[in-house]
Amino acid sequence: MSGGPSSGAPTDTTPPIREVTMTDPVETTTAPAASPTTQASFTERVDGLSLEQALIDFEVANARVVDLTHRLTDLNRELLELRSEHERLRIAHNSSLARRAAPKLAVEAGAHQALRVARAVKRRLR
Amino acid sequence: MTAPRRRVLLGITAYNGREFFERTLESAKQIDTTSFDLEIAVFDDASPEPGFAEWLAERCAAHGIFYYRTPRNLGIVRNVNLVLLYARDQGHDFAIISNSDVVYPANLLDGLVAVADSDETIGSVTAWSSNVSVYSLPNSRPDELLTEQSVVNEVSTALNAHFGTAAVDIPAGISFCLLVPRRVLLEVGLMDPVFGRGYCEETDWTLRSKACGYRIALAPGVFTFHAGQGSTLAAGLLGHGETTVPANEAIIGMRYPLFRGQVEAFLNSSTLDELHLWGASAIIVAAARERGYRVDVGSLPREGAFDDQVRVTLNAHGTGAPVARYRGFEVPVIGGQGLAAVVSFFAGQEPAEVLLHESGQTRDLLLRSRGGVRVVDHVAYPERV
Repeated sequence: MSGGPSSGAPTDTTPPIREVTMTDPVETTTAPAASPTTQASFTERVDGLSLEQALIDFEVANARVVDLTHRLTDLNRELLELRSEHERLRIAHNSSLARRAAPKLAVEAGAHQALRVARAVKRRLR
Repeated sequence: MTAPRRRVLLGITAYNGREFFERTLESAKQIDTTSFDLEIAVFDDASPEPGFAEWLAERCAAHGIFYYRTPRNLGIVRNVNLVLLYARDQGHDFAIISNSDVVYPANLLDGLVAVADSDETIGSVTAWSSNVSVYSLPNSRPDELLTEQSVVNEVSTALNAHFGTAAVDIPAGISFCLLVPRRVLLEVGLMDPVFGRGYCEETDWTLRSKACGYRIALAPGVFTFHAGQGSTLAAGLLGHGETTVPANEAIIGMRYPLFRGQVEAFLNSSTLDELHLWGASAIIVAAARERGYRVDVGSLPREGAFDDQVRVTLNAHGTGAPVARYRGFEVPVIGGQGLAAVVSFFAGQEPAEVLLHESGQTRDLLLRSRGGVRVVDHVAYPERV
């Protein structure tokens, strides 16, 4: 049986950063590896495959974390910018509303004052 | 010179399930391997039940089945990937990913491979079942009526005789019993571990295969019994009453925005209705050919009685289509209302006997012109008080 755990394991030539896809590089030949003939050799072979895949899964997961972290920080920055913009626009909007409302308020205040004066004059004339 | 026999890996993923595993192993060993070399391996995802691993290893050894136990729990996705990796490594021509709570038909390999061979653009073949998500063949009590090996073989043989190598295009595959050809595995790769402990991973995988140009096929000519949720409930992955994992569904929704619409379109097409009608009809007619059938006039027998017999119920008053039943399968007899329609449904085969349980127009007609059919009249009381 030649299918020991090291026969298909990655070597140290694996670059630290690589293009990670779910279609991981596979052999293109259809020639089968030597089939396990005993339970022990089967376990040994699957152990090797499992370990190799666990390392690949780790690499994929790590790449995804890095990618997601980049995207999260980008989106967070964009969120802060949009919030600032929103706040700036809200203040501008409120100022505009206040400016538009000022003349009306002044007229109302003047009218109110005039009414009070008129009532006072009326009370004195009685 | 004869072509080399093709090699198939049947990878059974396991997580507890002592109550049904022996049945699954026995079923796997009776699969017809006349045309293929079949290697069966159980991949135990570190089942926590005390003593289970030792018991399962011993049972696998007794059956000549390879057994592998992961050093720690990997989750369904990565455990399934071990099956695919092993098939890829060992050069199997086909890998079958399978749950452990199943009963395989003897024609599993012949049936699934024939469908895969029928079109080189088929990327995966899902077996049919009474429990295969939305594609299920309806059955009133599958857990009681369909678990016997002989019944599974009988049903699958009947369906295969009718559907042959027909491949039904479905929106996504179901990995309770899913065949993947090697060339597709090499191109599409493994299941995505982003689906964590499992659910939706095969939906994603088959949709990825579709993006590569492959068809996603259901084989109506291969019936595998599937109890369902045997491992996911045990693992606490799903609660009782739940059928999916919402977080994983969200990933599918984000990756494949058109998928839900495709499923809706499939469900609203006539495909499933026709499959159900023809499938149940094929099973019932084949069973009747084997063991005959009886016709009941009136409301008897009630559903659930005489499940192992083929029974046809005729309305006593001559209204409505007759209904044929066998082992929880039920189908309306289309094309008429009387005994003639029933005989036509069974391709000219006459019933072993007609049992009259209720008075009415149908009974009167049958008593007047019974022909060569044995009629047993159980209506022994006056029609009116």
